[in-house]
Amino acid sequence: MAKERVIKQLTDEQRQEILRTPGVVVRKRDPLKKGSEFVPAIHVDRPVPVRELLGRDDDFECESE
Amino acid sequence: MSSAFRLSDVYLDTAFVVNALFGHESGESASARGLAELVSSGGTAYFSEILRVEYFQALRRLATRGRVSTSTLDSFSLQRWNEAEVRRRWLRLGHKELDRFISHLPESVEIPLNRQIIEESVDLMATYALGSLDAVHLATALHYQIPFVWTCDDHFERVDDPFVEIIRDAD
Repeated sequence: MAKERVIKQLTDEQRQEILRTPGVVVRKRDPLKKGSEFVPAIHVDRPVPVRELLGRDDDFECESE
Repeated sequence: MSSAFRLSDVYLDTAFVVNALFGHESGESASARGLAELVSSGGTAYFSEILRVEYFQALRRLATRGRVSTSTLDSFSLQRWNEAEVRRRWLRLGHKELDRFISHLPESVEIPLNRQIIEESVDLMATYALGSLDAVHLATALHYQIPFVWTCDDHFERVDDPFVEIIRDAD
């Protein structure tokens, strides 16, 4: 997240279009809740490769016969 | 990162969320830091409902592949994964954990899958050689013009678009 970014955000119209989509669910954080850090309750011993957990195989190239 | 920057609208793919939840024992993954930034900015997180489906698959793999800490393995008796009650208890915990994660976000918008997004994702599969689920995430973000996509999946390097940001842990 170190790279430079320009400030971009949805316009009110774009945001309303999303919110009007059937089935969209909007949730807001409890305003009394404090702290920006999320502490996970499930602990792992070492970093877990996300692709492995998601089962996303790297199949960019076809296997040769 | 500039403190003047207000992070407003970010799409989170499942890889980002799974990395934030399970990436490190300490919870200090790059995605966890990104999440903290989003929370302190008061921004809105958007995600596809397919995140839930992928998340529970990741949760299952976490248990069956012995990726959790020994204490977690023991306290949930995950060695006895062949027992329905063990699986049920684990998945129930995972459900609560995902809900807790979502409720931690300043504002979240969960977007359903529809036929148009599926069609657009097929185009993206062709254009960027993405898997179908990766493509659904990207198609959802593009369809609704969400300015940033946060992922931890290097496969998105194939996407030639500056709004896709791959969040990496330091080596």
